[in-house]
Amino acid sequence: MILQIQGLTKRFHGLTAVDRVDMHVDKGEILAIIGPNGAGKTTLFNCITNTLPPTQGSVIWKGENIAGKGPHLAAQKGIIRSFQHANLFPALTVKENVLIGAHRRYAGGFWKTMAGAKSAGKEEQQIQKAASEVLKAYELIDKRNRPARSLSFGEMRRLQIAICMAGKPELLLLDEPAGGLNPEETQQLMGMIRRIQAQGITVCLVEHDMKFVMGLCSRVIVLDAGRKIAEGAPAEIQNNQQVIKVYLGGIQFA
Amino acid sequence: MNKAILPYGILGILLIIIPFGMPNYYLHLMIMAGISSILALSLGLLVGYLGLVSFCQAAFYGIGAYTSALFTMHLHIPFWVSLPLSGLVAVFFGIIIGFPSLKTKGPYFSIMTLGFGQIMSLIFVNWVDLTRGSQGIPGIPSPGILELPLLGAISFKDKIPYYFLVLAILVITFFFMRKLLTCQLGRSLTAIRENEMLAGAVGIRAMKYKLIAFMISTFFAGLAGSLYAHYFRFISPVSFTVVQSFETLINVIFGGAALLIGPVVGSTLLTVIPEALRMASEYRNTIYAVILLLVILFLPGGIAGELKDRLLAKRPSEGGAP
Repeated sequence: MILQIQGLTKRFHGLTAVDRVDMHVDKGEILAIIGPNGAGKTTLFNCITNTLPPTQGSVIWKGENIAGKGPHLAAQKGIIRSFQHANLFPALTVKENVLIGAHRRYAGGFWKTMAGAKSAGKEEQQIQKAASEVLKAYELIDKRNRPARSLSFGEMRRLQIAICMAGKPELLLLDEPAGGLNPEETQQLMGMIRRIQAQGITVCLVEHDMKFVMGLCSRVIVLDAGRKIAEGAPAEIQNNQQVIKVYLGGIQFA
Repeated sequence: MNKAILPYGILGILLIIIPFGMPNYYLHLMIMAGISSILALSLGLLVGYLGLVSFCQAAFYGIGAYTSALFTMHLHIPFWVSLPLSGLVAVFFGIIIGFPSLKTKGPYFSIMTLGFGQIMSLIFVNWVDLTRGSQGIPGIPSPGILELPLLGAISFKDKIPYYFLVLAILVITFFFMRKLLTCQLGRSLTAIRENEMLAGAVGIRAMKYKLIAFMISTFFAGLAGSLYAHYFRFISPVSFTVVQSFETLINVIFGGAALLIGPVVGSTLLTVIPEALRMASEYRNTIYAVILLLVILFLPGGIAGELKDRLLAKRPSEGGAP
């Protein structure tokens, strides 16, 4: 268990978007959080990474409570997330996007860099090299000097993951990674996520596409109206009466 | 990189040769253009790289000028010490104003800085015991005489040495900023401007980087103020009003905020153009305004931005290289 969430609650004035959620993430797994629209999946993500501070509850990462300590902290500790929207730096080049993603790997101090210290130059070289490798792995190396906004939709999705991966996360949170992708691209994405898992990185994703979730994840958490209503292996979830009721008339399970 | 050395070299040699034999009046213009270039560069860091439109750059310019004047006159601190000190005092005020105002965004940030700019110019006028109010402070010492090897004694009362002093500080400012913007700090600033939420998600603490940029900006504004004070050897609150902040902002945008050299180009042209228009004295302000409007309308990237686009358009092979 690398991440433990206890009693996490987020209220927006009258609305309780996330309601006393307890959950955990095991090292090396691929965990899915599913639920109908408005169930609070993205808000839960936002609270875990402090994009929004939670109203109550704790987010314990390797024994340390990081709840409400600013969005940069989660990333610095190794929890890196993607966004459903606004997930790139559109005006910057593909390579710059990835270099920014590598931010947390820069250890060299500001003055060292300004003074042109050798260690700072070496570090920059190493990170440039690592960024090139990430670009190669996500088939973006040929487009490295193009502005991110000029990429195709599928390429933008790959870049989004490349930005996260450049920071060498321990836990990668993906917010609807398959949204808007065609079946072929979805297949590619599944392969990509499995390769990420094979590198020893834990993955947690929010998704709508049931087929995608069932084929990929080892464990599923179901949210409805901010509450956790079920948790278990994909097969268990598919047969859970409460889950079927929530989704009734919605998406058919494969 | 090697391609860039030649134009820099030519420009460098020109800047070194130019002052000799130049009439004092033109030399004065060059010095003024240099000082306002340093000020515009300091603002350009915020406007161009963070997208923060600050309206109080003249306040830090003024703080630098008053600090340096008062330190040298009352505490008898030599200019060479009070020059960096004036930058540091400006940074101190920069932290005080930067901390609350950088928490706001867009127009809210601009309005907060406008308020601070206004407060500072009122303080310059009304804290008579310290600043002598609107009478101003006369008799600020010039930097004095510097004994240099090979060159001998140099008096900064003369215009040519002062020109080189301003040029040296301008070059230091420029290359400091350039280094800054090409390292991870510069990338982080751009990331915050482009998408602050995503920047946070990859570990960039936006407030910290904004504050660092603001401190650097105020430091150089303070230096520019000190150079101004010891050049004119007289300062008064009129020079540091919000109008000066606006003028600096115009210099930045006229030259091109997206390029580091932009503020320098803008400041130089906008120092020279009004002087060149003196012969048409009656229409001077009108022509000046028309030029400004035309540039804003037709060259939204500023003069330097337009030049760069033109030069790059001639080299279509660019883009594929790593």
